[in-house]
Amino acid sequence: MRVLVVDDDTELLELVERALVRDGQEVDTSTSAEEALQRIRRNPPDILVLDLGLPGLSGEELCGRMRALSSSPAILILTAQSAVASRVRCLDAGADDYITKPFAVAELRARIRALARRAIQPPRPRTWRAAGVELDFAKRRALRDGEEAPVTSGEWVILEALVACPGAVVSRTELLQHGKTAPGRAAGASLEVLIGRIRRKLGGELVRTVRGQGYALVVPTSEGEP
Amino acid sequence: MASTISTRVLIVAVSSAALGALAAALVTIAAVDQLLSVQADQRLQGAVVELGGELDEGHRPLTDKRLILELDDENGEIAPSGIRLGVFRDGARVAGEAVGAMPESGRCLTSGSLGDRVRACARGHGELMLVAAARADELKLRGIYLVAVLGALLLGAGCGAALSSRLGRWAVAPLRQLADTLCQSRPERAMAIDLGPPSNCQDVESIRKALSGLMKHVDVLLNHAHRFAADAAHELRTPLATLRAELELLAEELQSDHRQSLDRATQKVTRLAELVERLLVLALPTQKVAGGFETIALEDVVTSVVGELPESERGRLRIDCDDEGLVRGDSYLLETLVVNAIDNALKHGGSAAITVRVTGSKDPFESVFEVIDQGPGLGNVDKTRVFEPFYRGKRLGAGGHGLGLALVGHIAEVHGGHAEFRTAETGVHLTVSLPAWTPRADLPESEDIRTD
Repeated sequence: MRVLVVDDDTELLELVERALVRDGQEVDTSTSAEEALQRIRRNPPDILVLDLGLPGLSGEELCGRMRALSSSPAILILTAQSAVASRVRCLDAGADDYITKPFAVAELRARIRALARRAIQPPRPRTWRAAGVELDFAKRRALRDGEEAPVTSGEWVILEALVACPGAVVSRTELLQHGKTAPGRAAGASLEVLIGRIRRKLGGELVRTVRGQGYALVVPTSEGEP
Repeated sequence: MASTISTRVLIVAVSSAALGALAAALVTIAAVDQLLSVQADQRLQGAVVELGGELDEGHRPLTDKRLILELDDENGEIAPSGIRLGVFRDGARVAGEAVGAMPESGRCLTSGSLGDRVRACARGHGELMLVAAARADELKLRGIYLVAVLGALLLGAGCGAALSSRLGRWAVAPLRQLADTLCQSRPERAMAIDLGPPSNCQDVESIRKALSGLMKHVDVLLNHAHRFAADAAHELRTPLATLRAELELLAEELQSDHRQSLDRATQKVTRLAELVERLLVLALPTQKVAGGFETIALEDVVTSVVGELPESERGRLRIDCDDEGLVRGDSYLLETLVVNAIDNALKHGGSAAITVRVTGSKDPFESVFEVIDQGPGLGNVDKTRVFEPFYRGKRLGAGGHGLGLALVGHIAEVHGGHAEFRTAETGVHLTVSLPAWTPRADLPESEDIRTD
């Protein structure tokens, strides 16, 4: 995997590079967003590790430009912001995941590996409409018959994993794996409990059980926007 | 001695009413006295004129002997009215009775000592002076005066007391209004406290203005404090990240004999990073950062936190969730809340089982998270101060930064809820109430929550 790390703090940049190289990644570094853009144009990476607080062109703007590209790298944001604002801000900017400073090296590596796995998959839809349910993954807002339903973050993680392969069966193992590496904390509840709750809140038809194989999201009646 | 303004108004009203009544009573008494003496004088002068007429009737020469007989006769007749008559010549009594001091002709005079006062009126009759006198019935009058004064005092005081409660309420109303406004408003920023419209009572208006100025000042100071805490923690993060990564990589690269000390250093840096994170949470403004909130089940947070505890600690907890405990919140913050609440009970709650409970309440519509231990309790520790940062009571002394409960309280407030210690017979009963999840028509734009 080719990883491009962008941070204006050269010491941290060097450390992240060392950590990822030891993990067997091919690493390139850059201290500004402008320089990073040039490198991406010349040689696009698979994963972009990006500090938000860059001088000049900000990390958020760079994120936005990446999303406009036809094949954009998976983006992991390094943020020195408080954990409270980070999730929304990073995911709003179009990042796939974020990690707050100061982070554990092991966690950074785990996130990069998870992103690498996901980078192979096709991009998942941002919204989903089926069985009278409307899911907005960007805003994490679920409507059932037009009324908002209380879907928790743990339940969203399951829905996100299911929507990544629309209509196809996702195995229990894959769902559990996804729960462990999803941005933010997964719920402590078991998979069965979470699926049960999703059905109670959004109706029994949305997620179907495929005996012995796993779960699948019902195919939409009209195609959701990509 | 502490007193309310109403009490002060009562005292002033009662005493001024009593004083007023006393003055009125005295004036009335003086007037009545005057009226009575005018009446008495008329009676006495009438008697003198009548005596003069009697003496003139006979045209006989008025010998002293005849005068004596005549006056004995007259005195006998007039006796029931209490009037005594006397006739004087050159200041010496010729006939009749003694009448005290002698007034001038055509005048009246009071003489004698207290309790034996005599009023006398005189009139010249040729070379003679005719005098009519009567004892002033003072004792009887004094009784009446006393009753009048006492009555006036009581009546005045009574009226004052009756009026004062209304008067007091009226006078204090603008102040009360200001106090109520202050008590009711619990906004997150001093500036946001609404002191209501300007008061038409000048004194209250000056207090209102002074308070408003003070709040502006406090607000600026608090803002500075918040910003400083946030900036300081923020600036510490990148160097901490560098330090932590450096240590971790070094530990990977070095031989085993240095690993232990490196691990210790890493632990210390991790702990320092946690402290910075906690300070940053405490520096969060308590106005809701609701824009970034997601739907969270407190039950899930509890399960997740308990799941990460070592087996020995997990075994002491009894989880009792009869509700999902749905709230809108920040998952990181709520996890910090639950971790610290449970940690507090594990550290100080004795060795007996600890109950962790999630319930829902309808009125008010809340999700409630409780941690109940059977430990030694809070003792004399101030139940509200335990939520202050770095407050260390007897119970809170063992280890930690003294921030655990402060985080619990602050995070509850950030979510529009509150944390409190309920009274329990044994142990400690920590209750965190958060507004329950409700559907929201429009989600605010995420820009709203860019707080830092």
